[in-house]
Amino acid sequence: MDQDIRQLLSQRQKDRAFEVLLQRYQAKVFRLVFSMLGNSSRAEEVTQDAFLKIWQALQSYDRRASLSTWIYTIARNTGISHLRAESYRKTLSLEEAHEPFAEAEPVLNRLEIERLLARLPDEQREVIVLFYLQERSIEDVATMLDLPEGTVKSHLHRARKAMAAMMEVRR
Amino acid sequence: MKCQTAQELILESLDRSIDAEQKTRLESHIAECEMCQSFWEAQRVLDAALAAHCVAPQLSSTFRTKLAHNISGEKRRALQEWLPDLVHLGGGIVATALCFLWLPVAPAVVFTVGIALTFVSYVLQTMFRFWLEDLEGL
Repeated sequence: MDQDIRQLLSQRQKDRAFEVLLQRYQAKVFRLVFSMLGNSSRAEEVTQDAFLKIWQALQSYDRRASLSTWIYTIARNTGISHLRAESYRKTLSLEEAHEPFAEAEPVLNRLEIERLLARLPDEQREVIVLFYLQERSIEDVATMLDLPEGTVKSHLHRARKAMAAMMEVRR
Repeated sequence: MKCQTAQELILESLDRSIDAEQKTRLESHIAECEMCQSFWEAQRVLDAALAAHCVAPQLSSTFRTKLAHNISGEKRRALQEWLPDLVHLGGGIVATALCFLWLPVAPAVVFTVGIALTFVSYVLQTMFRFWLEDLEGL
């Protein structure tokens, strides 16, 4: 995986390597950042920043970690810095901060789901949102968050149980 | 099957498909246990709602253009950062070469003085740049 990008880098073709990398990872990085921020326009800004950092650091990528792990680490750190700098979750209302999902469902509407998600701990929320964004691939979520698959499952199960319990209380 | 095992299996079944035997055992437990039936129902509703709501947004069509623009800006900034150093080094080399050609002085002296002057003026120039940057930062 990513052997082509490593080869281009070893041939000092940074721009070409970046082009291939961008094509391969832009959607995944966007989803990862989106799972952290819950807002698509902010997620796009942070994805821009993350790829700019990746471009700046690409030549010095030391190949100790896999390329995907390295990319996701930069993306996560950029997202975390953004959250810290803005701390917008605390200052904006729920509706402003989160606009992620599609139109209302009959059983649980958009706002209800948003409220349930907002009450989860950060790591559980990120895992469960990313799980669905990544079409239910635990392996992808584990790679993107640099967590063991067992930990991802454990966060998922806890999140599901917690959300079901909150639904129960609501009734 | 105990309720705890059944509920773990229900959660597991939402992550991946469980095997036929597990499925049969789970279904028979759910059919008999009201609590697990309600847990299953809640999880099923929640799973459907999450799947319907967590739809990945798309990057805007201008994402690539903006990124290319930002990268060009970054390249320009990097060049601007290096430009004074490059000009300085180039100037030092040219001045030394001209002195070597025109001055009636031993080449070793010309090269030594040329290198020394280039180095000293580089240090002075760098100090001057830092001083200017400090002024801008105030």
